[in-house]
Amino acid sequence: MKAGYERSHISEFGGMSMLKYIVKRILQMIPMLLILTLVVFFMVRLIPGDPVTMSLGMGAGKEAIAAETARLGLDKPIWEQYFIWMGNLVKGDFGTSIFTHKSVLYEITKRFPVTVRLAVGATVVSTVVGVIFGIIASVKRGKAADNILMVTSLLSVSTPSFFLAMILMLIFCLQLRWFPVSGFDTWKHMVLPIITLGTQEVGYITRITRSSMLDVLGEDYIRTSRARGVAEQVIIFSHAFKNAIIPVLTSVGLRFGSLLAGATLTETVFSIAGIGRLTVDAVSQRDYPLIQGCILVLAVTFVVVNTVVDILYTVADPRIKFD
Amino acid sequence: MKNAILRRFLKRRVSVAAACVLLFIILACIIGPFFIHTDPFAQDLLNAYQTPSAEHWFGTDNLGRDIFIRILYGGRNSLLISFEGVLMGTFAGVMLGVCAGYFGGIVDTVISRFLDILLAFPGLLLAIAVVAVLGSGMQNTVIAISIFSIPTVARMVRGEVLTLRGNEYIAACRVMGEGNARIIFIHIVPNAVSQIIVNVTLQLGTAILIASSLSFLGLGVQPPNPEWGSMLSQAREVLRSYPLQAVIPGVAITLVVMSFSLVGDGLRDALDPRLKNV
Repeated sequence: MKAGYERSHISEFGGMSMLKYIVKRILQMIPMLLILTLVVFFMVRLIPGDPVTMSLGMGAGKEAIAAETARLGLDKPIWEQYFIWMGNLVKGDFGTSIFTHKSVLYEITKRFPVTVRLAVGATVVSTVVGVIFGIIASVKRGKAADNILMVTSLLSVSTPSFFLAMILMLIFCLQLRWFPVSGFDTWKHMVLPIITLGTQEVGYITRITRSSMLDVLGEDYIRTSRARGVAEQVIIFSHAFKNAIIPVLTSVGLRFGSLLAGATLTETVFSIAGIGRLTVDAVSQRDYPLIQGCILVLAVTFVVVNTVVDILYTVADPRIKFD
Repeated sequence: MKNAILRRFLKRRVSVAAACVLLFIILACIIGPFFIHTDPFAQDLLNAYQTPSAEHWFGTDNLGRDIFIRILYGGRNSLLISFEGVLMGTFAGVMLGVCAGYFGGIVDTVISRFLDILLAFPGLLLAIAVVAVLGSGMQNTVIAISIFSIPTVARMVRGEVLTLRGNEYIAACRVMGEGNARIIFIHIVPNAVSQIIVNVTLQLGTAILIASSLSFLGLGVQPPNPEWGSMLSQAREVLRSYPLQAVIPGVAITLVVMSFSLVGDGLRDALDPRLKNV
């Protein structure tokens, strides 16, 4: 009864400062995003080579070059160019791909959802498996099951995902013929890429869950519950797990952005048309507007997701003060 | 002191085993090519796709090149890229971290924002972005790795310096008229050395992964130059008919990455027993 009173008291008191905190975190994100646009804009300017000849080809005449330079706005001072570029970004104009002559935004919106689907699938699967593994490892600490799981998780984080992808493809697509080799349309296409991308995550999540559970299981209140004769299952799942899961879910969230970028390798092996593959192709073809767009979208997603996870974490754990 | 560290490290058998594996692979990659004079580039299409034999220990690839010698040369490249990259990145990171932590104020703000920017690019994307600017190739892969490894070490050193800066012995040094450089390099950095070593070891594993990923994507070391990642990339074409060509470099990468991680864990426990992870 008393605990209930205290909790409602805290949340009432915390309501205002929580809102303040959320607003503050979102405002803090804005300068970061602006700096990111600066970096991405000037990054491409650092690349040796002339975008005009890239776009027109080597044999272009003087007038054509001048016209193209003016069209791309390259005759203006660099700061003005940045502001024009930013203005276009805000309007949703990311420029035109040099290679496909389609709008960069079109290319990205076509590819990004595929990668997101892949990354979300991998996150969900790996979280479920990793948390179960982590709980087993922590409960069986020091026993055979723990050791086996720790070796498995070490192996899973050490294996390069493209190697794993090739092995899975060899066994399940080429030998057993259970799954198609490439594409990402039906659930059959998705199984192996999701397993590939998720495997590495399983290793991390198992470790984090294990150490988080061990921290909680060492607390006094767990010992007290044990002394009071509460059933072990209740202690593990109802008392310990509830507290141990918050840091686990936080790191799952914080890794999501890296997963989006890391999906590039999986996409390459399984020939999936995701944004990672798009980025790499853009880099190989020196398609500057497309490089800018892809890197910006991925980095902005990463920053935004991290901020949201951070806010959720603070909101979920009442012990953290908002300051 | 040193003996105690060594003793603690030797107690962790897994880490010792990993260190042996690592040492063996590194030595093999360095020394091997001096004794085996097979040309890693020599194609012999009549003898392609050979299974392991006395003549070709790991068999031959789709172009008839000896896989064993290519693994050694490839390992040289992969390991060299990672060592160079991580050491350069660590050096830069330590400098930045020390300056940020020691001088504070505007210096700290500028450096910290810079690190924030680096951290705003998720893992592999940062390396891809660097290569996008500089172009592919071995040297640029090294630079990509070094930039990739700056922020972690810089943040760690900054934190360490911040806690040390307030210590009385630092104030005493200042009273005795010691210069900033001397205080930093004689009195502060040595305190962070064990953490830096652990960090370097763990980063080396990640660096191998990133370097081979870049080469696999065609953005790092370019064929026909052997590198473990690019060897895997070439093996993709013949995956169905000749999986051995993929398995060998893949296992090599996994083994080395795993060993670095185990050695790093062992070093952390040995150098700083307080940090022992559960």
